[in-house]
Amino acid sequence: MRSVALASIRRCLDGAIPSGIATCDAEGTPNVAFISQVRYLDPQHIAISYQFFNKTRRNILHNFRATLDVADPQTAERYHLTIQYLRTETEGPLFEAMKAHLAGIASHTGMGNVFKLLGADVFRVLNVVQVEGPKLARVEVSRPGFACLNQLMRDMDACEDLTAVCEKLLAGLSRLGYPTSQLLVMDEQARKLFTLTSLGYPRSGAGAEIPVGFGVAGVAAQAQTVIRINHMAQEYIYSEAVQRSFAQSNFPNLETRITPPLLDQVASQLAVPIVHRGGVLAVLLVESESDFAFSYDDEDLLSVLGQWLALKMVLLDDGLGHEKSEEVADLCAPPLALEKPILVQYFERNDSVFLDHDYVIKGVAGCILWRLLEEFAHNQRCEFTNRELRLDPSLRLPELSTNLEARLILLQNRLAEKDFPIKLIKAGRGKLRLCVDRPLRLVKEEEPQT
Amino acid sequence: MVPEHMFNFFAQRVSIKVAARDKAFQTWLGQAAGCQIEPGGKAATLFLPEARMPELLQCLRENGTIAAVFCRPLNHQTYQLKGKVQAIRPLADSDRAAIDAYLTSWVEELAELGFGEDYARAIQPPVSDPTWAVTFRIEAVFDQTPGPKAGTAIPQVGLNP
Repeated sequence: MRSVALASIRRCLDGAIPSGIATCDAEGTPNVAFISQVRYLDPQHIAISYQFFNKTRRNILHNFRATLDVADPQTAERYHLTIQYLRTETEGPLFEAMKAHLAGIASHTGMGNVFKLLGADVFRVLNVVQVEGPKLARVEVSRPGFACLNQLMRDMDACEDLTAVCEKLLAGLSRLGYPTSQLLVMDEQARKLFTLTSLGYPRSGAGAEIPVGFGVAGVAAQAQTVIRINHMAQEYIYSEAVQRSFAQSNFPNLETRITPPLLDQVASQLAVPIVHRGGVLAVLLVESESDFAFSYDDEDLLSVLGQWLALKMVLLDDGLGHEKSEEVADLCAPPLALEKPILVQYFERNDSVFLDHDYVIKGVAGCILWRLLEEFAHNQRCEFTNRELRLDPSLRLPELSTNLEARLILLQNRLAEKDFPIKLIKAGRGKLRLCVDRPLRLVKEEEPQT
Repeated sequence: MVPEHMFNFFAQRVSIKVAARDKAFQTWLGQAAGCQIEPGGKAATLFLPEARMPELLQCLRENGTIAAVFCRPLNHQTYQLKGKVQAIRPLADSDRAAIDAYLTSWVEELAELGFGEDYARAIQPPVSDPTWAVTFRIEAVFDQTPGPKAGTAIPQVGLNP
C-alpha cells in the first residue's frame, strides 16, 4: 500500500460513495459501520458527521482512533485513512456547512427525516494509504479555470462602479462554467439579503429578499462560510412559498412581491459569502440542475473570487466617499401635459412605490425612487449625483456607500425589467438620469397597499 | 444466529466491509468479495483477497476478532455481524461460484443506482490469488439501518426480516 497526501484525494470525501469506519472498544472488539459524510478541512484534518450516538461514537470517545475507507467516485480507487478524534463542533461555520451538505445527501437517499446532524466530529489524519486494486480512467471535466479567473479579475479591476462590476462578474462566471449565478447584497440593518443581479434563471428576481440564516445563501451569510449542496435539499431551496411563509411569520417587512430567481429543478448549490473584516457584504450563489455539479475545486475558485470581490467592493466604497461635488444643473422640460399622467403612489410606512397601481419596489430603493420623482415633479430635475443621494438624511442609507450603489442598480433593473414608463439610466460616473415619458401625479399614502 | 430467510441478504447485492484489530487495538479495514451464511446460521464465511488487505488478514490470524457490515445501497438496509474466526482456508470451487454470483448481483444493484458495470466491478476487490475463505462464528448481530433503531442488537434467536 502506498502513502498519499490527503489533499490529493479530496474528491473521495464528498459523499458520492459511502465511506466505512472501523473502531475498537476497550475489550478489543472491532466495530464497522457506514457513515454519511466525510468532509475535507485542510491537508491534515477531516470532519465526520455525527448523527446518532452509536457504538462507533462510543469507541471514538474511548480511544480516539479510527480507520476510514473511502473510494474515488470516478476511478474506484480506494484509500484507507488512519484518524485521531480531536473535538466535536455543534455550531458555527463547519457545523452549518456539514448540515447543509447532509441535507442534500439525506434528501437524495430518502433519509430526509432520519439524517439530522448532531455535530461535526473533527479528526487529525495520521496516515492515508492507497489500497491495491484496479483503477478506471478519470474523465477530466474541462473548466476554463484560472486563466479565465485571471481575465475576470482584470476585467473587474477596470470597473469604476458596482454596475460594471456586476456585469463583468456574471458574464465572467458564465465563461468560467457557472451559467446560472446571482449576487445577493447584504442589508445589515434588516438582516436580509436581496438579489442585486442574476444570470441564467427563468426570471431575474432582482430585488427578491431572503432573511439571513435561511436558504443556502442566507446560511452562508450567517455562518460566514461556503455552503455546498450536491443534491436537491428542500429545506435549503428558497421558493416563492417559503418566501411567503417567512413574511407571514417572523419577517413582516420581507419583500414578497418579487419572486426569487429559482431554477425549475435545482440540484446543486454553492454559496460563497463575500466577507470583509468580519462583515458580510454579499453572497455569490451558483446553481445547477445536475447533481454533483460543484466540487471542492469550485469552492476554492469561487472563494478566491469572493475575497477579491470583497476588496473591490470596499475600494469602490472608499472611492465613492471621496467623489468631488458635481454641480448638476441640468433641468428637463416636463412631459407634455396632454399625455395621461402616471399615478405614482408612495406608501411611507414601508417605502413602497407603485406606478399606475403596479408594484415597483420598497425599502431604501423605494425611498430613493420617491425622492427622485419628487425632485422631477417639483423642480424639473432629471439628473442627480450619487453623492447628493448619499448625503440625503431622508433616505436613511446604511453606512456602507456601496449599499447605495447596490440599491440604484436594483432600482434601474426593476424599472427596466417591467418596462415602466419611468427609467433610470447612468449619466456618467456617479450620475444618474431619470427619464419620464408622461406627466406624473404623485400621491403620498398612509397605509401600505396589500 | 442468522435465520434462514435472511441468508440471501448477506450473500447478494450488499456492500461488505470487514474490520479487524491488531495487538495495539489499531483497526484495519477491508472489502469482502462475498459472503455465505453457513447452514444453521451460526457461522458466516467471507471471501478476502490477501493482496488487498494483508494487515487485516494478519490480525484475523493472530486474534480472530472480526466485524463485518453489510449494506444494500438501494434501500440502506444494514446489518453488522461480529464474531470469532474459526477457520481460514483457500477457496473451493463452490466459493468461486458464490463470489461470481455475488458480483453479478452487485452489478445489478449498482445498475439500479445509475452506476455502470465497469465501476461496480472496479470498486470490489479483485479476486486474485491468494483469496481466503474466512469462516467465523456469529456472536452478535446488529441492525444498523439508518434510523432511531440503528445500533440495536438483535436477539440471537433470529433477525427481523
